[in-house]
Amino acid sequence: MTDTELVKQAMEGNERAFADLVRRHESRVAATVYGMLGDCPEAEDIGQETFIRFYRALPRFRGESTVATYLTRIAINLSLNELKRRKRRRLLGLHSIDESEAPTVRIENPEWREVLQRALQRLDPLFRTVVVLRWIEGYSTRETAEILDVPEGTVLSRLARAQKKLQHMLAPYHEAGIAARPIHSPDTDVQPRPVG
Amino acid sequence: MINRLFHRSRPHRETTAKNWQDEQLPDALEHALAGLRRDRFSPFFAERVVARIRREAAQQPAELVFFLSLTRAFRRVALAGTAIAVLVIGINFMVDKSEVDYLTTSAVSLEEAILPAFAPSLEEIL
Repeated sequence: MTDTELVKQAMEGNERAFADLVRRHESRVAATVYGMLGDCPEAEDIGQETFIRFYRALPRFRGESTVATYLTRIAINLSLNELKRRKRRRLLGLHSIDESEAPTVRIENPEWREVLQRALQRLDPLFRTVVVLRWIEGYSTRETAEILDVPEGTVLSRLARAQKKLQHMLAPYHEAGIAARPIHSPDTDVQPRPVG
Repeated sequence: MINRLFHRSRPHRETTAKNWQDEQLPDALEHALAGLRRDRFSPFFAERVVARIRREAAQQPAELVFFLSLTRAFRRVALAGTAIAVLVIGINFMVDKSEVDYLTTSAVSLEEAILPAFAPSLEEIL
């Protein structure tokens, strides 16, 4: 059954059809949310909220974009809102858990996945969004531009800058020979070099 | 291991300190980032979403509650207003009817009309 047919049935109140849609697109939404927010408890809530917003928007869904694109757009917007909320809480000192205080990674036991994840979380949300959509989700540049509603050139330039920043942040692990301690902060958590 | 990030992705080229950042890291980085993809929430995610939708549908949103309370309040006011209106129309009708009765009673003589009731009659005066 196609997405359009499932959407039509869901609009008529068929819960099973909507559950099928959720199952079908869970992976894409999960990849987007986890990519944007990292592995955190809020990620699943944002994932649920994404589908609930989609459910409420069903009567207005005209099928101009695919269900996947539509869901990804909602997931990106909700994730960006969550990042703003985290930033506000950090500024107000109300919240103790954010990306800078996420579970720590000791360089003595470097898990490349976690190091990369932390580097990704340190990227500015604008750059993180294109990295998640383009490299983690595998959308094309045109699709990424469509989801973010920006020109393709903007996607490419953000991607290039994100790449440069990531390279810069990960460089110490390369220079130090990865298995060794970081050059700049021995015996401490992973602290990528500041990017200018 | 993170070393994979810096491995050569193009076997025909030598990795040098000079070129790894410019040429090889992007490919490796792209692969590594693709490996970060986590594509599942916890089990029974779809069921939880549907349950949440059902729960939210069962709970009336605040705006709807406000609207319904307004409707209920208006119904009471409307009933009382209708009762008062019926009463006023009834009284009005009765008043009108008594006036009609008054007008239709036997004609008043000129004397009665001109002279007050307590005024002594001409016969009494004379």
